[in-house]
Amino acid sequence: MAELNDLRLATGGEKPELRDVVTKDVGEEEILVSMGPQHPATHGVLRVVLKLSGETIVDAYPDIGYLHRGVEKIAEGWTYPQFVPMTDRLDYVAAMSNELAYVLAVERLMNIEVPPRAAYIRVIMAELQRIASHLVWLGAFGTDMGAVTLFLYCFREREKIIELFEMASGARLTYSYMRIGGVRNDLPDGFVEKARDFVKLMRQRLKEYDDLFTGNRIFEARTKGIGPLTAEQAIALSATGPTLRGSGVAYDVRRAEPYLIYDQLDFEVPVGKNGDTYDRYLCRMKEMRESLKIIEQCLDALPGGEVMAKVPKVIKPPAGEVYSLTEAPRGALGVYLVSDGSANPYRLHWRAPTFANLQIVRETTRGFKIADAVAVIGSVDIVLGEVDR
Amino acid sequence: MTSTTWEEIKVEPGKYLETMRALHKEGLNQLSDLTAVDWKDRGVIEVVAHLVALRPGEDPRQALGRRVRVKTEVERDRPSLDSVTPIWPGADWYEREVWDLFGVDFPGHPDLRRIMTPEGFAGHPLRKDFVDRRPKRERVPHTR
Repeated sequence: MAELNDLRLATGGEKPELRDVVTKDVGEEEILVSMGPQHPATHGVLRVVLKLSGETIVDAYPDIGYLHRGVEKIAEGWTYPQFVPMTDRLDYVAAMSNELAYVLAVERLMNIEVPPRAAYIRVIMAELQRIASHLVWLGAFGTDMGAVTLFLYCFREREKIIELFEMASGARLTYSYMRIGGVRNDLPDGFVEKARDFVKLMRQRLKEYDDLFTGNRIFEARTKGIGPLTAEQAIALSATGPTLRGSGVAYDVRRAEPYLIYDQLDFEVPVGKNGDTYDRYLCRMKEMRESLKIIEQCLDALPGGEVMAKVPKVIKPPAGEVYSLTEAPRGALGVYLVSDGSANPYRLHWRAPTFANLQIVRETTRGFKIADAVAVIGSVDIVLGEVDR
Repeated sequence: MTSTTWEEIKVEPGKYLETMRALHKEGLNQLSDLTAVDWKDRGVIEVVAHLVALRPGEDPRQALGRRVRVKTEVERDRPSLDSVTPIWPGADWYEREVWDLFGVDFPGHPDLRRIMTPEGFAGHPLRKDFVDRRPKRERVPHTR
């Protein structure tokens, strides 16, 4: 059936495949090793073809697309509300952040303002999600380097957050909780108390993680100076989030283009100095603390009222476009939405932060060892669901 | 809710590269996103790039400067647009994705090949006239 779809253009002829590129200049003492797509340390179906001279990496070619589901094409056939559950499945480790990015984009296009209670609830959910996502990252990062205990601790704490999400939305990982105009339902009784308990517990536990990991000589040897990325390189490679902030650029969408109620909240944006794996790690650790501060402020100031604005039964944004950015745990998540006035999006593009961030792997692993590649890939915090869509 | 207005610049494909170079010189040092929209009825594919100006430093309120959206329309028949990878290396994968899913060629790109579709896949799926070969099923309309 290939001939039906052969719209390939004649410009420039056939394009090469990965094997043509990697096998082109292999030196005499060099070998090619395929890391992945099934690999415990690539965090999903990522393949990195390494050109090695002994154990030193001469070049690294990330190969993605193993989880490509054609989500952007699917969106063109669905209605706007139907797409919300799909967003959960893009960055499946930070589903709330995805939902938020999408519904905010549609709301911006339609000029819908959510009620204040919904805005606070959304921020609480987004920040809880940031902590949960960073915990997954931390656990996996530790495991990659052999510190398996950390994995256990992180998932133990993350379970508390998942329980909170289950209370509010009914689901543990793919919530469909945010809606165009607000959130699906109000917080159940007991949520606020349980959230406060969690914040107290988490502060204590973060200190434990610090004692275990930060300052640990083996950990420092494996992360300090590994995979350095200058600010100029990071900016030029379209990196955002902790990958960029670790290199000393304090770009955080929550402060640069505040949305919801972030401009009324008091929190810091941690920034690194050297752009190595250690700095990216420190950024995320500090971000978890800042998220706890935000959650506390929101719980204290939570207003009453509706959780859903008045929205039309059929969501038909006026013809136009919007590029709406939010700060997801992995970086600046952008939704470029083009509407033709109908009930289906004409074009929905998901600017996944990890898609761009993954490009730094090639730049930062040259000259380092295979084990360092594992640390660098871990420090980028990838989730293939959003890379491949 | 904050304003998300971006400065919008529409440019002819012939002037695209020099416009992008000029914008980079003016401080727009990061390519936030580069994608395309297939306007089949008008016979063009519109390539949309979002550029931001970022400043290194510790103050998050000073980090972001100007924001610009650059739009170019190329003929759907043989779409081709200069690559901006010499200006922003981060454009690498974005342009590969637009090639893979829309069929827009980017002369000047160091390594233009598919990125999402599997090896041997034929066609550019995000085009509006791409034939969807999945088996069709009864769709219940979204009614109340």
